[in-house]
Amino acid sequence: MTNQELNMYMVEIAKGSMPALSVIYSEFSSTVYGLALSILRDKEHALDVMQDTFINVMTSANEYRTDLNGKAWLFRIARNLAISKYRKNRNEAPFDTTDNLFDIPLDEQFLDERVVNSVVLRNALNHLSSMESQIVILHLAAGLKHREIAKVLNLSIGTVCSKYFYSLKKLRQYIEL
Amino acid sequence: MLYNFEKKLKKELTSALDNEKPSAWSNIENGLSASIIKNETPKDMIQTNKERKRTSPWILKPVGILVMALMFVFTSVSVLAIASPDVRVFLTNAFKNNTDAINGEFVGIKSESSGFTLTIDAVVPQANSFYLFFTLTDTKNRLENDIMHLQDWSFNVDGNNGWSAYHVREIKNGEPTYMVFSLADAKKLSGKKNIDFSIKSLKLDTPKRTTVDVGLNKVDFVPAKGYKINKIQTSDGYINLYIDSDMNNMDFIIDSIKIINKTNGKEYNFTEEYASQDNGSSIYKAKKVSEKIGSNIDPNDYIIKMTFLENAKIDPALNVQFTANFNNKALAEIKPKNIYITENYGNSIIRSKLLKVTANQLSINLEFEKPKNLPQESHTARVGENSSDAGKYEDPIFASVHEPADVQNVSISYEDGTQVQTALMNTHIENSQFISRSILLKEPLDLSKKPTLHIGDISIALYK
Repeated sequence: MTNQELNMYMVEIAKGSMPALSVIYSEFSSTVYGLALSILRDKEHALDVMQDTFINVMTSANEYRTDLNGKAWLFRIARNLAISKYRKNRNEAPFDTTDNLFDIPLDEQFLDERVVNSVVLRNALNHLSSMESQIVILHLAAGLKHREIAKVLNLSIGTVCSKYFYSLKKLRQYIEL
Repeated sequence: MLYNFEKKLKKELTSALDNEKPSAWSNIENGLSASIIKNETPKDMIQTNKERKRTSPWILKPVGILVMALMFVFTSVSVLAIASPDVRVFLTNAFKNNTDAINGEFVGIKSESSGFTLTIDAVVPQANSFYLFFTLTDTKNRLENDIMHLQDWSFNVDGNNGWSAYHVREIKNGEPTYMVFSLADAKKLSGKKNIDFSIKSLKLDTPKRTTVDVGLNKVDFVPAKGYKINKIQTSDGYINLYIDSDMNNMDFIIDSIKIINKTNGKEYNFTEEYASQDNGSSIYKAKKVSEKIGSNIDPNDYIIKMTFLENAKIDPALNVQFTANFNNKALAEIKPKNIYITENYGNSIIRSKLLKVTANQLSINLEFEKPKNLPQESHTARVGENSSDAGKYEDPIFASVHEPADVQNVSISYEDGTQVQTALMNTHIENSQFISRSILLKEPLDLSKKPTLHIGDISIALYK
């Protein structure tokens, strides 16, 4: 789905159209879930964030600006919700949207097959830092350009590109496709 | 190789997330207030889209000193006549989002062996890496899908051979491509460098495919020369594969191994649990574990499908040696006074002061003061919008080269009136104070011929 198409559906969602929201949900829910999972490492919490993201899309549709990047907007909502939930679970200070350094220590990240059944996805999430797996999921699964990912994560394009290729090289050591 | 891996990973991740994601639609519906919900199908989408299309192109107009120029960001690369014109496509792709100084050399030397030709087109150093632009040709046309992979290679710069490499494009037969060789602790790469690049073997896209029936549990089965399956084992819902690879005696390289359900065709991947090599032996012993298949596996329901690619040994190795002289100091740096560029931006007029022009070996960089009233999303979203190929520049790596019609508004000429060929690059970087843009050249900039940069009616001498 292009940003222009997303804009069209958002106009309808702003009018209260559930079918339009269902289209957005069908298109982006998997990657929103993956993004939340890469931060929270818990499928129940990731599911909560996915639900809250689309409820948020509906309730904030009136504030949606079609001159901005719609996909970046959507995934930023999901990421902010996930980070807030992560911090809330740990009784930490609320999420500051200017925080672009958010990452989770590698030793907190291990997922077993009870959480993620797919070997490929599990390997990706277990061997990459949270930030790296977010970049990989946003580029490969969500189809975001590096430039768009930079906007979602508040990083420079150069950082996104280098982290992305470093992540691919790392994953190739663990995943045989 | 990385490109193929990336493609496969994309497919696997997308499919895995679709499968893993629990359904939440009914919860979302319940979570929303019925008062804001109207069950209408989206309509008039095209009209809505049209209404939202931008009506104002990104055009520069004169303010202060009269300047009429379109501001795109360009990166220009100089190309000697010896280099393939197509190399510019790849140079542009590689550096289109780079507004740092770009230096490098065009090489144009060849090596031929065992039915392959290697042509080095250009080499460009970055902070701690080299971009090597080359063309590899299989003169015997033995490839199935025209794709090759480097298998055994070496890259040596001034005696240092500890470089790691990746490429973001496939190496296609006869087409220019590029690889990035990087060294973690490389010092600033400048000055004269002796470069030696060798390819001793290639993985060719001439696949050999073998299937093994899991139910037969073949022991000592040889799916391809150099490989031996020792054991196939079912365990707790997984299938384990034990395989030896003789590194000194293989004509093929494993491309993929999958388990396939014979009834429904469902495929499962393997991951490598371990691989070890005995001292002094060329044989690697590996255990590969499948994705979880199910609690009760009937081996007779499954086959293992292995695909191998031909390992082409090149004897003698394709080898090119050349010296490149990189200059990471600016050839010239000019700080113009009172030059402003303005542009229409929707209903606003943006006025930017040109602070600095830097001439480098392969690029001209322009630095503007960032306008205070720059709208959000600013220029990035508008790149290319003024041309018929709007949006073509979105992807920083795989976009194709295109020269908007307004290239004539930015040009470089010598004192004798000859023009320096430029290649547009729609790229710019913003930080809190500056907007940087750069221009690639299609031919080397010769300062002795006194080049002058023209932006609309403005002329800026690039020499002192």
